Amino acid sequence: MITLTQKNSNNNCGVTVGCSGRSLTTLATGANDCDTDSIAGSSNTVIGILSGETNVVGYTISSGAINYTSWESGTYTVRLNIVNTSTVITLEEIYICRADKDCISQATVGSTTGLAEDLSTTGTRTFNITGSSQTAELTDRLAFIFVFSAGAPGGALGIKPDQDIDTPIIDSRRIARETYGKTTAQILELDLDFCGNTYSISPCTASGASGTECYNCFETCQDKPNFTRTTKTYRFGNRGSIMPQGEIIRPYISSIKTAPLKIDPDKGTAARSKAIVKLVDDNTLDVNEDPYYSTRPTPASGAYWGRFIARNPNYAGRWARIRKGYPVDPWDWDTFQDELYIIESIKGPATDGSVSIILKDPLKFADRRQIPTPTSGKLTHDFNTTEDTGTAQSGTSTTIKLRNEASAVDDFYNGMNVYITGGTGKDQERTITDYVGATRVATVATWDVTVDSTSTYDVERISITLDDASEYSDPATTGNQEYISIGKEVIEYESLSGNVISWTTVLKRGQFGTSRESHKEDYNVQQCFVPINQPVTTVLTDLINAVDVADDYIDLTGMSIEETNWLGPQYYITTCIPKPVKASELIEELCLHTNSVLWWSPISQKFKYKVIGPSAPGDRIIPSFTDDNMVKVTVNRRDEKRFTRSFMYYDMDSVTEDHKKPFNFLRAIAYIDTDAESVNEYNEVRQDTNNSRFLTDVNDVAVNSWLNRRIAYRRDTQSEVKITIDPYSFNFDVADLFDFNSNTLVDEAGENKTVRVLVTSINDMGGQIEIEGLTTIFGNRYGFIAANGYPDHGLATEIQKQYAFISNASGLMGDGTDGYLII
Amino acid sequence: MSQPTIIYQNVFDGTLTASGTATGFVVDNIKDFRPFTYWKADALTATITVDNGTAVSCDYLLVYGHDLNTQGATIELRGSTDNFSASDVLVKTITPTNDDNFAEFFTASTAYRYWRIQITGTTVPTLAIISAGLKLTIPSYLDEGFDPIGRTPMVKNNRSRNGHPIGKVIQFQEYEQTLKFPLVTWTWVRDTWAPAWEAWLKDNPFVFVWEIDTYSSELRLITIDGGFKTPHKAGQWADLQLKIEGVYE
Repeated sequence: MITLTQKNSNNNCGVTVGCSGRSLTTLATGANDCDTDSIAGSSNTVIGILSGETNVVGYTISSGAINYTSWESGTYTVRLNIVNTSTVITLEEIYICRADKDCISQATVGSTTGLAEDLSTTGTRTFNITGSSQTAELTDRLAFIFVFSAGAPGGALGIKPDQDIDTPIIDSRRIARETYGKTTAQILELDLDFCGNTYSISPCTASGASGTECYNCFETCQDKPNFTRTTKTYRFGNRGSIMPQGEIIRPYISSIKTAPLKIDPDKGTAARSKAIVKLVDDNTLDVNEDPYYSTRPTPASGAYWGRFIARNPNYAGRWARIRKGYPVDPWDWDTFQDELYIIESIKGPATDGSVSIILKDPLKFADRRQIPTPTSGKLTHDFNTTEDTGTAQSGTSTTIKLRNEASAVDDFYNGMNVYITGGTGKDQERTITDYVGATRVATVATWDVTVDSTSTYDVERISITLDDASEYSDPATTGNQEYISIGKEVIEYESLSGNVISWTTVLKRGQFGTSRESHKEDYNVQQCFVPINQPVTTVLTDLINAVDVADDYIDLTGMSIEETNWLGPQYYITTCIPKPVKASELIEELCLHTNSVLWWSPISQKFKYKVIGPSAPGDRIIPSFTDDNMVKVTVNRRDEKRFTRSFMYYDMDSVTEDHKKPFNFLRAIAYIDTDAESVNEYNEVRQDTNNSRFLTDVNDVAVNSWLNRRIAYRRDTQSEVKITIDPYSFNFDVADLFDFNSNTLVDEAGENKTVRVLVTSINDMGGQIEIEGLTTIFGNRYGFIAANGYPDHGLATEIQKQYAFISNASGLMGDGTDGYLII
Repeated sequence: MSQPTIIYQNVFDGTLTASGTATGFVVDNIKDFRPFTYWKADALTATITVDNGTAVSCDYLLVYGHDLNTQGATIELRGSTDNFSASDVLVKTITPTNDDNFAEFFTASTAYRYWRIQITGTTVPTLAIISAGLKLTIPSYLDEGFDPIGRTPMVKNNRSRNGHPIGKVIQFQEYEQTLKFPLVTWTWVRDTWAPAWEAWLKDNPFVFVWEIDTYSSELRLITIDGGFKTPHKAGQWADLQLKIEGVYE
């Protein structure tokens, strides 16, 4: 049975969720989360209702929190804790809704109406509501909608979101995992292209004789223009493992070797996870793979893998899943957890027919792709720094007479801008609408200040023509400021029409510290990647999207929480990436310089992001590992990773210069821990130098903070902790924290020391789970400001104690434990 | 006590005609001796019919990997001389009381040109292997040392650093035996065993039944690991030795 706990947070669906016509979209002030992490809310939800009207309070779970497809029918026990009463407000209806990951209603699971529940006294109300069974997506959500109404004169109600909601949904994976003796199974699924047509039936126009049909794969397609790409899932299991009756899962897996993802705070992204699945061959019949098996005059020769590869040579980049679970009787797929990868390559068949399928995580897309995407447009003409420059001979209110050396060709400068660089009328700019070569007189819109013979000027193009501009973004479509780079110059453009890229002022040239340059015909014009005053997580999302990974595969909610908790406006990014760079290099740099990590979580099947920091209150209960529940432990000190001073060079002078050279940056901040360098401590200097393409002068506070945290984190030697546990205790993810207490890590008195460890890697090997982590400084108590209504420290729960309390004058709490630090 | 038996010869190894097949299933899956490929009819009553060209004999029916009991279904083996036009003879009918694999040996063999499997009931079952034909009976009893139920779990036994047991995870249980049949005749080895070896046993899975009368549920889907040995014994005798392996189910 899965139990949910009401919370104060409002990250899951907000007011958008509902069912049976009841939602929180209009009147709601009480949209809250509820989730499986047992961390109850503490702040009251107060709703006001006018006489004769209704209002709604709702609780919604996170997408994927249930993570089961078969939701059992049964009784939902729903509770509501009334802390501020009303004599005129009653609870009328409760709805249990199933919504998809986007909070769109899918079904009403159960409801009760006509309650007229009196709320004039405080206390918890409990309702048992029958819910129907549901066939859900793994990412579906539950939502609980409470509908209140008020009589005259209306009033307010206070609800404390601290109650549990019991569901009939059976947590079968947890039950299986926590069973002492359990069976394990691993299943590989490959999603490969498959034609949705039937041979020779419209739209397929192939017309070969019976027995010569294709195999419904592109490689053998006889009517490629009408190939209709769908997906066929091929499934393979461990040899000997129990498999579900009636499902074709070929027991060909002889081994699965995994190199799990490993996040590295020094790099910003994780080492890519990798799995090598070795599968044996089988001289099986072709009946399940060949749709036209029955018409073949002779059975297919060869064995399984040879035929498989011949028919599916385009496997690279397709999705693959490793499903790890605990088979039970009757079979229950809900005991399985899926890890999502992409197919990297298939090695073999070897002499014995076996193959090895190499799977990698989708961060590989970022290794293969470049940002900005290379664009191939070329200038169709020379494009100079200026088309003419000099001192005007004279001017009128609507003309300027250029120097004698200017072009003698009529209309030569039409459409270009003349910019007054000095003298009378300085800094005025006008577009030339007519030019008479014989007189050198250019006609412009009326000057604010009429130019004269003291005025110096530049005549410049405000548009360029490419041989093909179809690859470039149109600002009118994207709504963004768009930039191109030519040579070492960056130009902002404002319009794209056909093959013409244009801008309205000469000041759009030479952006991001670059200078105007002359460019020759056939020079390449490159679209730039330019975030302007964007949150870090928005830039990261844009970078991931740019390698063709959709938002569905990004933990946008988690990113938003990290952005709110730890980053904010001082980390807003404005920069220009003028030429193509490996996408993963940019992601790594941005994460590293914002003290965060990004990784692909095969289990969540999303890119996840976390700022390296203490566990925020309410995140989760920190698991604890001791010598009683660990099978193996290794602790290695990482002396080589320590440093005492850190430098950050940032704010590039010109974005087209080499970012690896410090002298191309305008700003630098250093943080030196002189205590750490003193003779009584480490007695040495260890320097860390960083250059950032993303941070500028508006990020000064962020850079200072980053350096401070970096030294605090790294001045002392960290330890790398490797532990092995039984699946029984496995209930967390990479980048979570756990407390580690073992006789392998003791204090000066030889007593076991509890340290908080950042999980950097998890390797689920079926029978055992290997976990790697880094010791952190987060074992100290960091102060987070709690909401109103919290009890004193002595009465607080362990979860509440994650917030700050004031210590005594000795820096200790009432129970003698250490006081809280403030970050 | 019955003699050890090998099941591989199958009258349903020819061109099969199913009354109807559910989407995603193929009828030929019942004859491949692979427990992970299935046939499922589209409706009941369902039949699978085969024409062997001439009359062929059956003295057993094997069903391996099924949910007949769960689905409340009955399986019948029927024979015919005219493709079930006028001739339709019920040879065997079985309504399993569980979903365990089973084999039924007939008291006498019976021969027909057309053979049919018929499934009746209300809910359509899935079936992995159906085989009927002439069994291969070993003319010798197993030598001492044979272990019909021994098994080796592929297991990870987890104990804490303090020594306490905290969990045990099994991948599967392996069934592995070295079979020794003492004193079979050279005539049987040459005329019966060797042809069976070449026809099927050397490179295909088969079912081994060590004692059908007393332990009918102890049948194993196995393959031979390596080859076989037939060391000569005094007179016209030899010992047949082979190593088998499979999954203990």
